[in-house]
Amino acid sequence: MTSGRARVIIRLAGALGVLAVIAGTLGGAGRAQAATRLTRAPYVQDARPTAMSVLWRTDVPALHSVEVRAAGAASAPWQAFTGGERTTNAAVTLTGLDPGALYEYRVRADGEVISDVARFRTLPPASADRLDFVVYGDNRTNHSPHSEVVRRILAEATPPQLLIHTGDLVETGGQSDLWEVFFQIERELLARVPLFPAIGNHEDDSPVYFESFRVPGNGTPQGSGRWYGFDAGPAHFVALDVVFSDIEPGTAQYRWLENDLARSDRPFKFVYFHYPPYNASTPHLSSVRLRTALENLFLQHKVSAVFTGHAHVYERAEGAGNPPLTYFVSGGGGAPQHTVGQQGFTRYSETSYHFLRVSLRGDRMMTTGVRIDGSEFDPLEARLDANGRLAVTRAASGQPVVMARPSVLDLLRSRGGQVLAGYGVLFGGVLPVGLALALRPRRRIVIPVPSGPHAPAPVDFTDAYAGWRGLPVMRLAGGLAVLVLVALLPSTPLHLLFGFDRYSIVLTLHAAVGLGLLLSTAVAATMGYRLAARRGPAVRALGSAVFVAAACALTVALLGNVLYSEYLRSDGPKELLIRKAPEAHTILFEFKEFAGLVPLPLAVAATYVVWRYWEYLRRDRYVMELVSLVLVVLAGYCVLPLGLGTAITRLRGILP
Amino acid sequence: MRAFERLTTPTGRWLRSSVQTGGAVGPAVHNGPAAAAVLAAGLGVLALAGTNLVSALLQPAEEALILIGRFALPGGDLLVAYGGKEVVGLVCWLCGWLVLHQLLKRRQVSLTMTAAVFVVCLLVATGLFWPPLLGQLARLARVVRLA
Repeated sequence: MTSGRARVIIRLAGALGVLAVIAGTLGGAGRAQAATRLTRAPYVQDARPTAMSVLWRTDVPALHSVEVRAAGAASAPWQAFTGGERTTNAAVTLTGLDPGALYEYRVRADGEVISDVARFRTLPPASADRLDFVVYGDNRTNHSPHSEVVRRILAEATPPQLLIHTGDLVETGGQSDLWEVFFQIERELLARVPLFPAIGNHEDDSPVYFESFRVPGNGTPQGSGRWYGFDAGPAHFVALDVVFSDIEPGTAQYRWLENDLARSDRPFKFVYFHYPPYNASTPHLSSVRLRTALENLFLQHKVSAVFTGHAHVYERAEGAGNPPLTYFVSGGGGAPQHTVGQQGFTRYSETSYHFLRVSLRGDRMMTTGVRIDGSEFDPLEARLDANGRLAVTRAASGQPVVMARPSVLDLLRSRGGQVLAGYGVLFGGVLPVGLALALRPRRRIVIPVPSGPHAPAPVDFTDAYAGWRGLPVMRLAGGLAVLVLVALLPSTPLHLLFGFDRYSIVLTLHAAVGLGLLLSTAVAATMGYRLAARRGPAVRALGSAVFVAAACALTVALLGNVLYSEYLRSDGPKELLIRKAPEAHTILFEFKEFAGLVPLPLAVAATYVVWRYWEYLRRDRYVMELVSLVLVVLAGYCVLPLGLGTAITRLRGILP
Repeated sequence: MRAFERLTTPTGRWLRSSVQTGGAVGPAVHNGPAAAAVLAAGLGVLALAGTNLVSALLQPAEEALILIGRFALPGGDLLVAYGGKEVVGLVCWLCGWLVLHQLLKRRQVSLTMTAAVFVVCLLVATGLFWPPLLGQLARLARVVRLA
């Protein structure tokens, strides 16, 4: 009996063991299949006539490989190219390909196929006389129009052979999740067509950007991945980094550019980078710095056209030279749209989400803007002249064309306008009503202020300084100091300190009024504290101090706007800070601009309360304490931007 | 002499006349308008800071802010979305003040609560002004939205 029970137990154990093994095997197999998953779909990079790189990412390290064969040859065997080591960031270069040929490929991880089959075309050979490519840029931030732009490029009747990106692929280059969104949106397009990007200011010089793209080398260690050149059929392309690297004559990048353009023998030469040398749209306008640094070099080496972004519009401009060099701004890839403008160099400008289609046929170049609804604009034809320079032969209009700027109605109709209207109702109506209902008592309370013969005398504060003998001496010393200052001023070389151009004057005024705001606020805060502590001076003095503080706060805010617009424009300090110390722009300047606005409502509120209640402040210590609190906070908010402003001026070696 | 009768400047006379009177023995002075002014200032600053977050989270809002700045401010074209944020903050502040003033002008309210709300508004606003924190919030919101 005992042995029979033991046998049953052994059998049961055995059966369970077999089940466990089967389950383990099945589960293991399931895990093995699910173990290697694509986190970034394959995309083609660093295209050449006979080579192509394929990049992709997986969730766990694996041994990666790419299989490739001529497209349409279903019976042909796959040719495998393997990556070197186990990694999650796969990059495999396919070599020995035919120029201008169509291939299909798929990728494997640890021997398992983990992607669909996609197709790419190698770049055409030097002998080719035709090329189709697309220029777009600034697709950051708004994913919906970005997706539409990509969809529209995919729908092109003649698929582009390469994509030129003018920068600002994502809103914040250091945020990996944004890159994944970018690659998800571009997935289908980048699986087929190689992208050649130029770095934009929103890439933040982030390592994620450099890890994501494999671009041709340039032979200089410091410029690797930043500036580079490549050939495609009849054209030579050059990407520059004008955001984070110096480009002025004499710099490494400039010398490289000079040599690269001189070496190229292709009939068409295109240069692309982020900041536009010619741009009438606001807020960025033109980068005169880049125009001055580069235009002569472009003309000398017969550059055919220049593609840029940064401004979220389309603009075609004519620069210097005979025939004039054509500059395109194509920054309508998805980022919040900017406002078109018109200057003497503008030939066509519009605000739209779009890309630019460029076709080369023999000695002709055709360009067309394509909006996301499929409509086309600004068709242009240009032809190489006998000297190898590209001259516009046919444009849609001989006259400059600038689309109308958006109106208030457009604003009201837009989703953003409606969101902001709701926001205004929330902060301007709902929250105040809610606060008022929460704070006010159930019954209306009227507290009459006793007056007439029954009224108690107001609390009499004794000014701590009243009767102080030192006061006349201090006043005399102050007066003498002012007299000495007035006497010295004419002989002081103020022009060395301040300068007298518009910007310097506004800057000086801003600083002076800011100092006035700080002083008047400090005086008001001190008086407020003393009044609340019943050691106060005359209310009139407090009233004057808060009034001056409010006036100063308003003036500082208005002058700050003027300075901020100067800060933002092309070639302004913002570009310099982004190039040399991006964190100084983000942390110091952006924060300072908002902190600098806070004193205005606080000072106005304090002024209102002081002037509204006036001598009654002496009777109601609670109101006085509230005013004191506001004044102390106000003083803090005056010190904060002033400190940050001072810190910015101390950025030695960065700001001129 | 009553306190308000000491005011002799034109502004002072206007302010004196604006003080509510009531009761048989003299002018009634409520602290409601003081609370309204301070609360509105706090809300205005918070609204300004909130525009930062809204524009970071809702892309169409940033475009609308650019347009608002352009329409409402001279030279607003050059300020990108910053001008629009200023305008929205200003409108929220002034509208909020008007509403609060109307509701509280004849009331005695707790100034301690008023001060607390004011300080909280400013603390939250300062956080929303601080770029690293704002960036993290925007990132978190994107992750939530993507999820």
